[in-house]
Amino acid sequence: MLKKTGEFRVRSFEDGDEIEFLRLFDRMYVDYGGFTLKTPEYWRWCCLKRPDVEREGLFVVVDKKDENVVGYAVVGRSGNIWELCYDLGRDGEEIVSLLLGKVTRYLERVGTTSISFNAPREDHVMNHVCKELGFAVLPPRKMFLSVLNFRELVSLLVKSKKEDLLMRFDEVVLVKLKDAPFWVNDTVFIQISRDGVQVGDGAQSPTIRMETDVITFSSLLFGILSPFQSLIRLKLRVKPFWKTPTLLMLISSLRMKTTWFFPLSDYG
Amino acid sequence: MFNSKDEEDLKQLIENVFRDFLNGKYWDWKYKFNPDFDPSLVAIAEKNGKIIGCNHWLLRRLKISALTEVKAVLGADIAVRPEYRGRGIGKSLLLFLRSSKAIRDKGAVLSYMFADPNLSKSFYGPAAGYIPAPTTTISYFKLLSWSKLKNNIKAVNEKIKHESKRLEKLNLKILFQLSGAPQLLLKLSKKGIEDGETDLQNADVIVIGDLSTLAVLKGREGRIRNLLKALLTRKLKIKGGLFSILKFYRSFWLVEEIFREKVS
Repeated sequence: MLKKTGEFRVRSFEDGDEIEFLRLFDRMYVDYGGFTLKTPEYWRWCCLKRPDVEREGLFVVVDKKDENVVGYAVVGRSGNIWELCYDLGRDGEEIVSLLLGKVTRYLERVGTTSISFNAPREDHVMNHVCKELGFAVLPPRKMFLSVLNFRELVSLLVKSKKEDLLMRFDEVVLVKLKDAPFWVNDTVFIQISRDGVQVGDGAQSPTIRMETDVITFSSLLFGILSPFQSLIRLKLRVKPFWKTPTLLMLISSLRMKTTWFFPLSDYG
Repeated sequence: MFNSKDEEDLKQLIENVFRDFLNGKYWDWKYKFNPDFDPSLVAIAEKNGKIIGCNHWLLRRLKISALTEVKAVLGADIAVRPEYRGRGIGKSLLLFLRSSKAIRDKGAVLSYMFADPNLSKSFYGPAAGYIPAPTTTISYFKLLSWSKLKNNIKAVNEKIKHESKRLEKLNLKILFQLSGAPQLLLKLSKKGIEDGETDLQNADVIVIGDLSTLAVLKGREGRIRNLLKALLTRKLKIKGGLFSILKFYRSFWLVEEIFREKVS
């Protein structure tokens, strides 16, 4: 059963609400990979001006006491809820059920036959409300990634983990990508020493040489494949071989541990 | 590269390839009015002055971890005229943008896109090293009415009206109780298919599951294997007398026909 406190009410969209929407959206999704920081101008284009969105398809939940915005939904005539957010510090279940109730009635009125939206798997509030309201869980469209500049990506990762790397390693690693196409740098040097960390295209003689392919290296960096698995599958060659444990630890430190989420509005 | 005089041809191509697009309005909104639109990130394939393919990319800033943000490009709409497919034009369009000076100048580190997993396995992965993102996203779905299915029923009835022999022995009421959808009762008889009141008492067979199991009924390859898999993993349950279940199996081709077209 969904509880109701009667603290909130739903109103229609008013110009200027987008500032509060962005605050809610940022707070809810900022820790996910794939998060895009939106400006009000971008939001207006992405949601308000979307061809299937009408102003009646925007629902705002406010606190009855102070009229603060605590949730919103943007739904198009296509049946897609492009964005649905609630204030993490408030009663999310009531906010989400109010919004989904309004959205359903709106879509039934305009003759749309289905509703769909995306949410992170671990959002228990959405999960519970959707279960109560009879939603099914379907696999979403898949998101795919491809690295355009390995050197830059590794450099950003190394910088973000600099302190940890300096404490644990003193190596010069050469990563060789054997199937790199001509527009991707096929070598990445990672130099970690007392002088600091550096990523580039050339350095002093490497202490570890790693040879792999583009897909394996991408999968390692994005945390899809573990370094150990790639070694077992012979996707990774290390020279000298006794440096293998050090290299595996280094890659483990570098790899991203972020989970990715994208609302429907991010499709484009 | 894109030139403003290509706009109309491009819209036409996109509309022809992606039928769901909203008559040019969608292209205008997505690209022309997009604050991040950059014409240098649109690649066009031409033959004798006619546009036969295109690829659109959009520049974004994307978080890849709590502390790291990168410039990335969203691979948006890639389209090739049907008569030119299978000649490597799509791949060339993809590689052209990836290796372009525009991408290098913008400092993009990543490219990402949303696509059919099968297409990625066969096309995007080998062509440009795309890997699936470690995503936590799930999609919630609810069917509000079966009105589109009713149109499918009309079409199927029209198609089978001369198959009276095959339909002669069919007299079956199937109730679908799928989570995320209203109940649906299908009456199969020699007159064809009718959808009726969802009266549980009247059903000979009850199909219980969720909407994801609809794929089983869509007549894709290996449907019997998929059906068995769904039954064994209890994603789909079929209740009814043995005789009725056998009848359901015999009439499965008809159910398949109905669910083959879009229902939402």
